[in-house]
Amino acid sequence: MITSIVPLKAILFQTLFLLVAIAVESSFLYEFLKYPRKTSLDYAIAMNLFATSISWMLFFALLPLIHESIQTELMDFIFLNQLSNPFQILITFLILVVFMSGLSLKFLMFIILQKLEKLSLEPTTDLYEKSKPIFKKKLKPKIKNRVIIWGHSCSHAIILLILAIVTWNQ
Amino acid sequence: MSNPLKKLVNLLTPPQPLSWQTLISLSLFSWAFALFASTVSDSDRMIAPRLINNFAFVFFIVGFFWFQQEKRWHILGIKLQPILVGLLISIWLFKDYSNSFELIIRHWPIIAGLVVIIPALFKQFKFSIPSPEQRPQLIMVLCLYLLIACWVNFYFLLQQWLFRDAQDNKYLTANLSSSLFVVRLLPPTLENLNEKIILNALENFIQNRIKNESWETVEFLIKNIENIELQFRQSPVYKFLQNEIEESSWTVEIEIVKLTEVTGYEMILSLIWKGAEEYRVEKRCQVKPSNDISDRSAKLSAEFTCANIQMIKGKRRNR
Repeated sequence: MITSIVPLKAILFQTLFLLVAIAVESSFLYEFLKYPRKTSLDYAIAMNLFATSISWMLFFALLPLIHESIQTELMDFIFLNQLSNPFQILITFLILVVFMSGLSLKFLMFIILQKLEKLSLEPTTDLYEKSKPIFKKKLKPKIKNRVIIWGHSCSHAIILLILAIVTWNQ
Repeated sequence: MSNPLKKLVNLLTPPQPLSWQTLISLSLFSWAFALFASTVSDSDRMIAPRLINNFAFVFFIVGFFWFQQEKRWHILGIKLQPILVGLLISIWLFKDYSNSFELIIRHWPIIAGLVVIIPALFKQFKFSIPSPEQRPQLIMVLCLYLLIACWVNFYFLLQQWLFRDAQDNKYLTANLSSSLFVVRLLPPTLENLNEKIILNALENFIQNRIKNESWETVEFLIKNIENIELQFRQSPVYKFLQNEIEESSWTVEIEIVKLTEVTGYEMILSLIWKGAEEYRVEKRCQVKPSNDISDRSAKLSAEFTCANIQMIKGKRRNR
């Protein structure tokens, strides 16, 4: 059975948040890791889209496992924007979970993208690799991770700010 | 020969044997054949027309894909090829299911994503890794289609929640303007939500009554359908609905049509609205013995499935 009740607001909010996150994180990649503009934008888009879609799938997979009373609380929240008191604490906890899982999914995508960049079927000659100047050190992976964490935190801070402004009057 | 037909023939005349025109003509030919085969044999269980029909679909999908490969359609810079081909494949895969609409829409984005990815992995029918510039873009497109699929899935999850059970139908009629997630595109009166709620409650009631009963009991219950009607009128759900839907000038009726042994019974749940103009809304349901061959020792139970609501304005049928 189908009604005209559509999660349009959720879709629009998510699109807005994705745009914000992509803008912030791509500028972090460009600024601190010195990637070319296009690469940093590609990476930011792929990481964010991957993190959001996999998070959705995890939500769908975990939903049947949740207790029924919590499901009805969730329904109240989604349809009527009503939150009972114990659920408010749960939501704070959930935001933390979403933050951490999003971060780890972004790391995963970052690793995949870097692996994909080097991937090829033909055996490579190491001549090019060897001819690289020795003194130009590669960036340590630790720094890359740190930049991703900064970008992720910064974008989420802005998203939380937007949410706070939106829900100010309610 | 008339002009549009001439144009069509001109369009579909293949410039060389291996071209999309050949495939499209093949599919049209197969469809004509399937139509012919289905008129010759009146039983729809015949395998030949269905097989030919499936072949026609495959020819058409491949032909359309090829056509789009040569002459791409764009809207605002977005390639329409994967979207349209994905829709065609989704229709082809899920057209025979009872809830085909939902399945088609749910799987459409994922299939569209695969339509983008899979051709990119092959070059002249050989597996090859796409160029380094293409790789992040392919991942982006795949993730985007996955996200859209998740949104569609979320929509259908919400629909499930809305109709979960009769008492919890409060969301259907509630004011949703404070929600951060959903909007109501049509006002509830335009959607005939009351009818949906009442008939849905009746369907659930019958479903619960029939569930876990043997087929003999179910047949007995069906023969005394007035009892079920009466029980429904005394049930708390009905009282709740009477209070909730204040124009309480409505009644429900159940009508039984006996079909063959295999197909069981048809149950017509109808709602009669006695407002300024009287009208009737119907929901047709099937009750049939479930042929569970796996364990014969078990009692034959009943299977209960319902179609969507039909609106029948005005006239009242004779009973």
